[in-house]
Amino acid sequence: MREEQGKHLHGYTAALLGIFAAGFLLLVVFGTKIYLQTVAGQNSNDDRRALLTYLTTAVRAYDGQDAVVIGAGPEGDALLLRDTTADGSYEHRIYLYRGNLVEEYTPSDGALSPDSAEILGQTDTFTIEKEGRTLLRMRTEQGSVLVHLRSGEVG
Amino acid sequence: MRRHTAFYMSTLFLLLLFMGVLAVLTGVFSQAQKKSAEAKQLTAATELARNAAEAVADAGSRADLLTLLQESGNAAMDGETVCASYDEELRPSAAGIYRVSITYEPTARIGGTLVNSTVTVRMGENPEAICSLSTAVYIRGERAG
Repeated sequence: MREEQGKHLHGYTAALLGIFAAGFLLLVVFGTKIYLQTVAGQNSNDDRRALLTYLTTAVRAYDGQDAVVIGAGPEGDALLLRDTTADGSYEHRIYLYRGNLVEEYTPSDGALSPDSAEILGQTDTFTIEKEGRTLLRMRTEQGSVLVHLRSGEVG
Repeated sequence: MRRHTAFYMSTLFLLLLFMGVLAVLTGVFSQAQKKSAEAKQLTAATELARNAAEAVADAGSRADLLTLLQESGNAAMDGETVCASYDEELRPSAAGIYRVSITYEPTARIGGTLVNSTVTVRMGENPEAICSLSTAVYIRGERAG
């Protein structure tokens, strides 16, 4: 009788342990999945905001007569933001190069030097279109952004 | 026998406690997933609202605004409101889940027209707005309609 009770108790303890282990395992798997999804979503939101906001801010900073120009980069469109100073004319150039959006600041008459350009972020596409009267639409892999030029000029 | 009963009772209590902890943590994780999805929607909606506000700044009239937003038949007039739809990837789509409504209210001012506009982004048929912004643009000389 006592032996039978002991067996029963062992079985009960083992079942309890199994329930605890399975519960913990499920919780860890579920938690990990949610964590990975949340981090991926956060990174995607950050990338989207960072790159598109940077482009908007750059255009806004240079928005002036003949300052915003759509040019040609090594792999498609290039955003050329002209900065004319007493020392000469410079360009802030943003374009696509080897899967990255890159930028450089160089004299206007200088050639593009993508190998030494700063990487802004990853994207496989970068196009710029003029829309409406004074609208500039820039598209990257993360999305597209419209910028209204206060100066009313797109070169 | 009494000792065994006490053991069973305490393990049963422990099991219930464990179930409770599991339920609470699962609830927390589910909330995290929901908040993450909402953050994604808010990021997308903010981008759409910002783009719509830029289009308002460029448009000279309500018809202009409609033309600017029109891509693949995604934009239409709903009374005096311009409505445009976008899919989950924010591509213009007539059957898109993101609905952007833009009011365009021109008021004559000395030397021009002041246009007040409210951009509201909703998800599907949900009447609750994900985000909303108000903007205004002054159009010199001409009359906006």
